[in-house]
Amino acid sequence: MLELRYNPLTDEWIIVSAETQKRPVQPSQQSCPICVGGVELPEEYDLVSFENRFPALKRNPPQVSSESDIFMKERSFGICEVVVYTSKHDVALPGMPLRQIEKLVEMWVDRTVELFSHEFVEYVFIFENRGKEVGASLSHPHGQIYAFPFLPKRILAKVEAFSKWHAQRGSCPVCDVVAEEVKIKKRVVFETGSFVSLVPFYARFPFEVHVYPKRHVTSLPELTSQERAELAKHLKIITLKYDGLYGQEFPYMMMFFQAPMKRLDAELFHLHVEFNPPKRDKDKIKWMASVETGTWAFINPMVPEQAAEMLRKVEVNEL
Amino acid sequence: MKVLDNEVSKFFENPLQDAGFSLKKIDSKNAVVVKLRRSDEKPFEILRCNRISCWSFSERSLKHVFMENDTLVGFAGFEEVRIEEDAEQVAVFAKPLVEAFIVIVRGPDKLNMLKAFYEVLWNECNFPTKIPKSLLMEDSFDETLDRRSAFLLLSSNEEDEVKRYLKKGVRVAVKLESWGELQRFYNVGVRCFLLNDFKDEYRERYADCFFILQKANVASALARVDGLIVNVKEFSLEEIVLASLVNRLLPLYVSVERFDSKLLDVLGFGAFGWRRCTNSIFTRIERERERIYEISYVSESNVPGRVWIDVSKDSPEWFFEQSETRLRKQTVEREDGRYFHFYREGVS
Repeated sequence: MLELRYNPLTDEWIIVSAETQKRPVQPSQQSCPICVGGVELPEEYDLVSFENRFPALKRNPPQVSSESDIFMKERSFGICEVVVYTSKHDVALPGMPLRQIEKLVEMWVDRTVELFSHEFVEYVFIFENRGKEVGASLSHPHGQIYAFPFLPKRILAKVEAFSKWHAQRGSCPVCDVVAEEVKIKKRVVFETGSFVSLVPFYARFPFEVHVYPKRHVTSLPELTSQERAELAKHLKIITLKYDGLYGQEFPYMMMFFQAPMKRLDAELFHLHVEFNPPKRDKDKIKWMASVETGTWAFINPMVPEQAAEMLRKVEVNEL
Repeated sequence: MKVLDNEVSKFFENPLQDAGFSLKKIDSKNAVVVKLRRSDEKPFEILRCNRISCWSFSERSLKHVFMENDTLVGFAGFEEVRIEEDAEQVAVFAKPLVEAFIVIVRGPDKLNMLKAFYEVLWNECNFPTKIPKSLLMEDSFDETLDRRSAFLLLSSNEEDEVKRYLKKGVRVAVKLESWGELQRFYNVGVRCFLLNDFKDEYRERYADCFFILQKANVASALARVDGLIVNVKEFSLEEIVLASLVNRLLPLYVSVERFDSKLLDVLGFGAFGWRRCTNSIFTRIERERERIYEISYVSESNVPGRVWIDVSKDSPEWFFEQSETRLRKQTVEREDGRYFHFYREGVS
């Protein structure tokens, strides 16, 4: 079964996909489906993005009909891609050569442009789940892209917040935050000419980091070559600092928030990357429990300024 | 300027009450939306303005917006649009379709008022966004390159050719001489049609079709059809830039005559006889200075570019960026129909 079901209690679409239940869980390197010679990628490759064998959304989804005007359904149009960062199984973003991450950024740019060109795509969401704590099913370095046929609820909340801020102040909230943060520095983790990585004033997770371009750009393709290279550097530095924090592989959810480009108010949006790591200490997890899941209200047990200081102190080689 | 026989300023003051329309203020856009419903009346006057001080597009089908000083009045959802002009005044007469809108916007300049107008139509009046396509003639159509991204345009007296191309899996558009031909070509598999007029009942019957109108006012075509063929060869560069704002809601199909296709492509016009290359949803238009527009876009090789349009000059100025990391992409379709995109370093 593959379909969208409408929830009138929250005005949102839920993706029902029995296919995803079949996904493999943490196979060994010998049986890794995305290593060279694996079931998905028998050929040599450098980077590759391919349509998921167990997708939540499909370019040709099955026909559906609503049960009634209360229980409404839509076809699950969309594309779910697996983005393989490298053919090497035993590295992760922090261990990858910077050049490889630069190529990865270029690949994300191309995927964004191509996926947005499909008529049924309203939003392109690039993400990575690292570690079993956040449900990663393969240890081979990879991320995913969901090309949605609708605007997911949290994206819509962001779009509306940008619009409200602009109506009230005539500016962009990220531009305003960046201008202030680079002045006061206390939450900044890493800064270059075009980007700043920081623990936001409004962090929801203990070691949450946001990567903001200093210039107002709405999406990855708008970044210049120089900015793309700097973004790659920030991704490497932040993930290195995460691994260095407790001397262990640090699980995280990495999410790219680009503008919903087909909306006419897309230019108000400011591209940004969010790292949401679930750890609150070396061996303690900050779970998404009832309050967070049920209300979207977060209780952060870590003062953001303290988290920023801890991450700043983790020394990594400037690349 | 007068809207529905009232001075436009009145719409921003006390809410006007009238049995014939409802009114909504959009404070964030400094705009007012007047909503009218279909009536059995004849076309009536919706706008009157001073001919000398008022600006509108020079192309008749684009005369759905009128500006005077800091005020724009635009309309959508009307039929039988008639524009009467004398030496002193311009008057617009029209009749609401099912639901019609007159939007009044106040703003600092043409570009920002037009942007606000189309945003209000999209956001408040629920006019959906559209993606422009390429309509290519047989001599320029490349079956391997254009099969998935463009329509091959044929006339209705070329039925054998239509069938031959459809059999090859090519997306064909047919220019119809009459509505009677639609069902015949629909039955053989055509899904894109060029028409001289449009009837709403066909939208439901042919829900999976792509309709492009040849002669209509934007106000009548918005949200009803998928594109409108317009003649922009007499346009100034500034008019081209401003007209391009329509494209997100209703692609304007233009042929390349005076203007180079790259500029039209970047600005998101529908291609009539030329090939679209860039994804114009990434294009942004800003008013850089009094007489200069800056257009930023993402090129077909995924690098950002800029065009400067100085309205006092006749040619755009292009600025390119060179990518340092170029990837070569190879797309493979597996037996199960899934696409795999392989990337390696190197220029494609």
